[in-house]
Amino acid sequence: MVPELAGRAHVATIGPVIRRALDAAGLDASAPALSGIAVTSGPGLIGSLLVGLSTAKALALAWELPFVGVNHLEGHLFAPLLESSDLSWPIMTLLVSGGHSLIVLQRGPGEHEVLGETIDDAAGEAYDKVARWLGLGYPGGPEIDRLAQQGSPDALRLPVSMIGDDFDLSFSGLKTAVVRATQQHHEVALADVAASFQAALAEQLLRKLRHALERYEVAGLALAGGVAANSKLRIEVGELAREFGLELHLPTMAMCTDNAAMIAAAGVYRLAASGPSALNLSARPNWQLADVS
Amino acid sequence: MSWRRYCAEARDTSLAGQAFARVLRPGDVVLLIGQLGAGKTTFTQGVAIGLGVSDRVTSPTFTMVRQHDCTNDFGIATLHHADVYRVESLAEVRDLDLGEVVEESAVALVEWGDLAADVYGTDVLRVTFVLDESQGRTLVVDGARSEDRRPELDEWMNA
Repeated sequence: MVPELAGRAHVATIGPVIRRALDAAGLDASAPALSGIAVTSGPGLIGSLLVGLSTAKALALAWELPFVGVNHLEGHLFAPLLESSDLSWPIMTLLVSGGHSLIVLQRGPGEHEVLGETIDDAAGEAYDKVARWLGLGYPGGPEIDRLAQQGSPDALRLPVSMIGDDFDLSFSGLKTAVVRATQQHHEVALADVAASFQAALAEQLLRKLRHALERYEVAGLALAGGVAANSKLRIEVGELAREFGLELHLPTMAMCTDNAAMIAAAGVYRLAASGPSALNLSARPNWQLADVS
Repeated sequence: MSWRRYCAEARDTSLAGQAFARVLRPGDVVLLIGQLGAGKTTFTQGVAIGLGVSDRVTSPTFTMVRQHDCTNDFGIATLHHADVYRVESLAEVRDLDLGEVVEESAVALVEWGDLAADVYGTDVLRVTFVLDESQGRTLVVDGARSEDRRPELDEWMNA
């Protein structure tokens, strides 16, 4: 998606999509019985954000509803929690997607502290780039996940980066190591490359997450973002939760990818906690989760 | 004419980027050319240090372009860090409008810039990353704009 193109595509589709959602929910499109309108105001591509913001403001005015801007990453934090009615806090969340990779300590809804994040590539980006390097399709996650199940994770010796004492992540070195290893060892089967890469990536995530759980006492462990759909990661995060005796929050497949339900959930919280946003709210393309309050 | 600098490991690539900041002038577009894992983002992180960027600079692949405020004595107030890796056609690169956003007080570094060479034209700096058999890589600088930077690039090559 390119800024201007994405913006134009949004203009063409946003109206019909909203209409379909209202119809599916059995709501009256002229005056729907809603408590408010939440919209992603950042981070993201400016063109897409502006289309969403303008539409949300127009609907809020027309329907006389409160309007609230939400951080996309805060939305992701809510996604794995949507199916639980009774939550115990604090919750440690690993948020891994194509554009972001963070370990977040949530002391309560909307009270989050970013413990660490990627210093180079996002985890999902590493999946996509390695998949493209190996000649697999886009997005690369599902294909590598599928192939890895038929391969040996010990076939290639790949580095597990970032052994340090902090909670930051790094996937650039692993990506480079895959490139080097496949150039030097043409004989290694694709499934073995996929399994080795996936194992090294998961090991880094699990080590950092374990490190965070040893440092901070929490009641729950959650996985969020597109990479949360990865079968190996779901299993290993589940085992970690059992080991530490924590409530496990795994998002459904639909809740892994970007979706509006998680933005609505964050919006409900933000409306209750800090009230509606001003109608002159602007888009924040670089809005960091650490700056949300 | 080209300038070369060998980088044995990632740290050297970052230092090469940091030193390269002194080569840059406002309005420059720099195309970064090299395969996956060649060191393009690491180099840009070094340039950002050299330009006095205080944000964390990460891969822009997903967002396509990120802007960073700079504090330096080179008259460069903004670093545009772009990545055309996911772009499927030249029309999409034109839509990124990087030529226009690089006004008097900004520079742009474009990862996978060779994919967009037709859009940016020849009035650019090019940094090509050539991986060797071991862990190292050689950075090769050329491009039309390198001609009027000879003293700076000589210094960069030997620093």
